[in-house]
Amino acid sequence: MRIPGRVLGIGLLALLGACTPDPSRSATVLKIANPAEPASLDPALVAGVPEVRVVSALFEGLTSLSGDSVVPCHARGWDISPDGLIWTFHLALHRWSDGTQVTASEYVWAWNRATVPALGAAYADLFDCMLGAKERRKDGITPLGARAPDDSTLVVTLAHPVPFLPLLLAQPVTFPVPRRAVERFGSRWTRPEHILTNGPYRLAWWKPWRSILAVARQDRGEKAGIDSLLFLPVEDALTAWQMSRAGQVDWLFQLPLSRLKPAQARPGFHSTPQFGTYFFRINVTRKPFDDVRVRQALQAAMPREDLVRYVTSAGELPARRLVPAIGTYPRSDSVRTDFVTARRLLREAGFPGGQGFPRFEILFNSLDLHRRIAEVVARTWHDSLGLDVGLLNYEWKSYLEAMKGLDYAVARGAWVGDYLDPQTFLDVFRSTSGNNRTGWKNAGFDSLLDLSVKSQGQERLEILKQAEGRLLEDAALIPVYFYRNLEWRNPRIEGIVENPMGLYDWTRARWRQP
Amino acid sequence: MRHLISRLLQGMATFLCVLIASFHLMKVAPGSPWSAERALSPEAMQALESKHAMHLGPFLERVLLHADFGPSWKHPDQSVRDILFQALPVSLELGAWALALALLVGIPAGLFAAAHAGRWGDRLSMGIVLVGVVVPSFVIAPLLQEWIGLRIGVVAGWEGPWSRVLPVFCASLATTTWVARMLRAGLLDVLSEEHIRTARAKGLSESVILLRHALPAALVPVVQMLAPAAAGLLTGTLVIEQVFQVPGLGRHFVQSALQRDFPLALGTLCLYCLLLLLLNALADMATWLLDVRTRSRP
Repeated sequence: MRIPGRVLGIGLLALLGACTPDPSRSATVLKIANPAEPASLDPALVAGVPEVRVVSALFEGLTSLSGDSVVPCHARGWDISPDGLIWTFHLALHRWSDGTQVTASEYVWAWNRATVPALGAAYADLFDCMLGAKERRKDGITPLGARAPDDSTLVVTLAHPVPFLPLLLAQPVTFPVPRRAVERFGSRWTRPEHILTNGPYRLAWWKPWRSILAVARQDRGEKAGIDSLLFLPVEDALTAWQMSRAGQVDWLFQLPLSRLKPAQARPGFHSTPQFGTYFFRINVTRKPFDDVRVRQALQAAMPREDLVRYVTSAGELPARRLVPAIGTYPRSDSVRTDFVTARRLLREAGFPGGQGFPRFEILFNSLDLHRRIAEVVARTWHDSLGLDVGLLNYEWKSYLEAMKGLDYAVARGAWVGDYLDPQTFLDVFRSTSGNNRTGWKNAGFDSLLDLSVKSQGQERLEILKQAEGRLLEDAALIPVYFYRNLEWRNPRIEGIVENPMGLYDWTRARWRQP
Repeated sequence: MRHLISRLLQGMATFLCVLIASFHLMKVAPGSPWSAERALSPEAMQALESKHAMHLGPFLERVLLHADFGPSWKHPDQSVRDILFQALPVSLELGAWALALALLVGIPAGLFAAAHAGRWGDRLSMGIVLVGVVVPSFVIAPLLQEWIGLRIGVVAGWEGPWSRVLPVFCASLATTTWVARMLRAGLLDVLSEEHIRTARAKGLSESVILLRHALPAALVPVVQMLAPAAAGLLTGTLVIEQVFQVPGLGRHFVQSALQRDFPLALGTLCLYCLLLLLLNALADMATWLLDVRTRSRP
């Protein structure tokens, strides 16, 4: 049989395409399994940890995180006015990947850009402490309280004192962006052919849904320990695990539940506390959940110890408060699992043994772990309180819509801190917060948060603790457990400083010499 | 010719209907493209919604005249066209290899089973190919990763020739089964017909009867079934893409709808629709060539 020349040609071309060099095979490249394809590489638009991992290799801001503390980065140092409202940052000489200087005015421009409503920056509210930011996020016109007297001085005026401002300035949304590239190429400025980076790496390629290769910049004084980082978007946790076994990846940020035991026994397994909490929201506007005794009963009958032991089973700690352990923030566990108290509270609310209590559902988004947790909770509330509890599984967007519209009774929720301070958790439940989603509004709680910004140090943390106490006492949410970062890293990687937010300074990573 | 023109017009009408229906369905789907665990301010939400407001007229004009769906809403750094053009060759390659493998295994298996109908050879070959539909890909794929992927050092990804082996094999399984079973059934039908008896009476050998007289007619249902199967294979299979980390179209087909990324969802749908129409037309033509009976129809 004769094979037509064209068919043969196409076949050969396909084979050639399949034989392109495979960077994941190179031993010097650090191959990182990122659980999702980054939605954007624009620092202002990053919304999730997978994007932050890539962006933090390409860009850097005034400060950076080293473990759980903040250190100067582009800013050599800063002065603070006596009233704590004016911060003057002195910038070191940093350059974009094309050799031009990163100037203070680029920060001003980038921050004003990030706070315009039409850009849709998810973290724009982190600027709210700056003068004019709240107004700018509404009207898009009011200028932000930041100015650049010269290329290496940045003056920031705050609306109220914020002792943790350096922590906020380590967030990608505050990173500078190259103005001329953004203005010239619009939303496509992050493509490899247009992008300028100011971080330790430059973008060598971005093949969407395949890989992102970041190569260490040679023009910087302090060179990164590893020459190339290859980010592979691997959505399936089991696939990522198998790829690590086959030597295709060196770093996993998610481990499949079904492989936890072998993962824990494998050299390179790391389990560290994450700055995040799993909880259930209660819709306080719906009867009978508007009765605080009902909510407290559900809170007291939460089987958090059983859940961490038998369901999540990766060494998580049961959460008896909202804010995970951080610095010197007081840790008083005000929420307790106590079924006797739960039954008493329900009786006092007019539902002895659950009689007369209307059937309700636990809402969760589609994920096996959420289903398993909701099943255990529903069963426990049924057995211990006599309640008729069903499960309601929505896909992600419908779940968010139901929560936003308060169209639920009890819903699974979670929060991972944006910065290492308790305020990032408590701000969620302000009356005016779009993230509240419980209908719970408490003027006392809000005023305590307002009061906290006028205080400093331990006094401020004590006020925040009082606010948290009020939130938990009113039981608008039920804490379940504190997350952990579960990772596997090639044991040849060293120099990593653990971070409760699961974000690392890539420049410190290096290969152990054999 | 008249048949071809009529099919073309039908295809265009179908495409337009699918486009308009999908546009309206996406609009009534609950949830905003920009809703997230961390809520945007109402002002930002409103600004984004008015910036990306979609109206049917201008949308149809952009799509039909310029094949332009604009940027993706979930991935604003990329245009829908870029995303589809990057994913389509991958899906086409995966689908083409899988289809070729399915035909390469399915046709001989079907022939063998039909030639040994009712005997052990029939049961054995049909039993083996049945695995393809009985065991779902989300079960067989991780098993293959464990048994074969770890040995060859490639369990997932789409770089290098070895990365093609497992996804192509997995993607071909179900189609192989259908090809083999439909061909067997078709052959058994044809073999009981009058003209085959005549051929046997003329003293032709069994292999000549099977290959020259029975096979072309028995292939007709297989070819008709191949159009939707090929469209499915060519536009990607979500499970296989996710498990083997293949950057194809299947992911966009599902994820864009779940993320309410309307431009990407509609773009993927249009591409899928066009492929399906094209393949159906090709299947029609192949049927016409294979089966002399269809040629006499008006």
